[in-house]
Amino acid sequence: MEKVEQRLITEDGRRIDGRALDEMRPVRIEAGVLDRSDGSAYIEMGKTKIYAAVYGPKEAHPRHLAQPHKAILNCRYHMASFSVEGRKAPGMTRREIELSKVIREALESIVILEEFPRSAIDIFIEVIQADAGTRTAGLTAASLALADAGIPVLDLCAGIAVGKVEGRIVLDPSEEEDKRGEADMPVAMAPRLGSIVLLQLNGRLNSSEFREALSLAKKGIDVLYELQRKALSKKFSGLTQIGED
Amino acid sequence: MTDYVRERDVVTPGQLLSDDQRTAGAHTYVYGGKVYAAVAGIIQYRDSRINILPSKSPYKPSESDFVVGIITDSKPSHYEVDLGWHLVGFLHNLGRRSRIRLQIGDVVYTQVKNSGIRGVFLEGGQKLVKISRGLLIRVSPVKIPRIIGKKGSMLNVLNSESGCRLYVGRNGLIAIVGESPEKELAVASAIKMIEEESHLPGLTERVTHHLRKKIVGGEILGEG
Repeated sequence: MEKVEQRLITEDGRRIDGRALDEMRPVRIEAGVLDRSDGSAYIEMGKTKIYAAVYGPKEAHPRHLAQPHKAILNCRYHMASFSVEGRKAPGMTRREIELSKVIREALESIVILEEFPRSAIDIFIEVIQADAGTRTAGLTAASLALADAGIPVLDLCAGIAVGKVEGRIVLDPSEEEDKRGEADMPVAMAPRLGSIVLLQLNGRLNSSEFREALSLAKKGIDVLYELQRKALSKKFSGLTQIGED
Repeated sequence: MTDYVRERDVVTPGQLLSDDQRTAGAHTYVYGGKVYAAVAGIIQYRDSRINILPSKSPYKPSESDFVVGIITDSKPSHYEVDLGWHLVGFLHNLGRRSRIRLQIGDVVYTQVKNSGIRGVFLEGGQKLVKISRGLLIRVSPVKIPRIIGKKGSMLNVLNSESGCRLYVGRNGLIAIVGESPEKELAVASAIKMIEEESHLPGLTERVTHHLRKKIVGGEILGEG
């Protein structure tokens, strides 16, 4: 018997998990979840679950890497061996090394590194469960963890992926849509600065599709950004009176 | 002049605070002539400047700050002093006639002479104090103003109630030197209390009460 693949988008514009085309998966964002780190955050986007932790600023090692006029960022994006179907070898793969780099570069554009010369800030992003969109969710959590650590930043940044599935542009594709879709474009922005800090594209989009995808991403990012701000403000709720100098 | 925030507002990084760049205070940045928040925290106006009080923040040394540090290395021309966090301070050799002899591991209390791109340089003259006994504790640098109190009021309470001498460093290290370890530990627990309840009113009274409970004629009355 021939296997019939299920359509990813139904006639009435619903996706495989029942979402509308411009609908994100349910999101949960929390700041300050790990006591042992200087700053931390947790994000859940559908089945994707990620922790981010920040340590520092501290002395840069090896010493010759330290910059006399600014801090350096070290970033590690890592997927737990149990985060995917089947076991992933626990070491850093090529993919993880590359994602660490693009996330680091995105964060370098928002952190005010000049505040801490000769030091290093370590960022650890640990994917506990992966279901597409981990680099953007990881970056969203990392940016929040930095703010939680009290490290000065120009803005928070948030990211989300947009995909092309069966010829339609969809927001926040799931694993299934990512695998069988025609294109996948992770985007991250610092909304208040109005800048794009990360943009990659797998597959093909024509220019009008690209524009549509970008504006859809912006919509998702604005939602995430508000959730990030809420998570940060939560730490201060109830603190009506604060210490006097 | 337009300000977009009021006293005690909670702000998050990137939030626009004011159109007037002269109001830029602690933990803010100026971009295109406007003032934005660089950290999450609570707005505090001081001398018509907008400052943000974060819940935690790394220490950034500035001139004439008093700091506590640990000597980590002794070099021909200077000592290296660990100031906690990411910071290493430099203390120039004191000279042969100095009253103080320093070794690796010693704790010192001194002032920041200058801090810039070349590093953090510490005062080696009359202001330098070597702390040879006592208790060294570490707190978040943002809580230090609360531990000192208005014009040193909180510090006075800690001092007069326990009889301990306190060396409070802006970098978050505090040396407590008292007659007995019990008194030092009582002060340490009071400081921990200040750190945890820094946002609540009436703290000075509670600290006084706490210390009196802990110290009765130099004896400690069990835990809690």
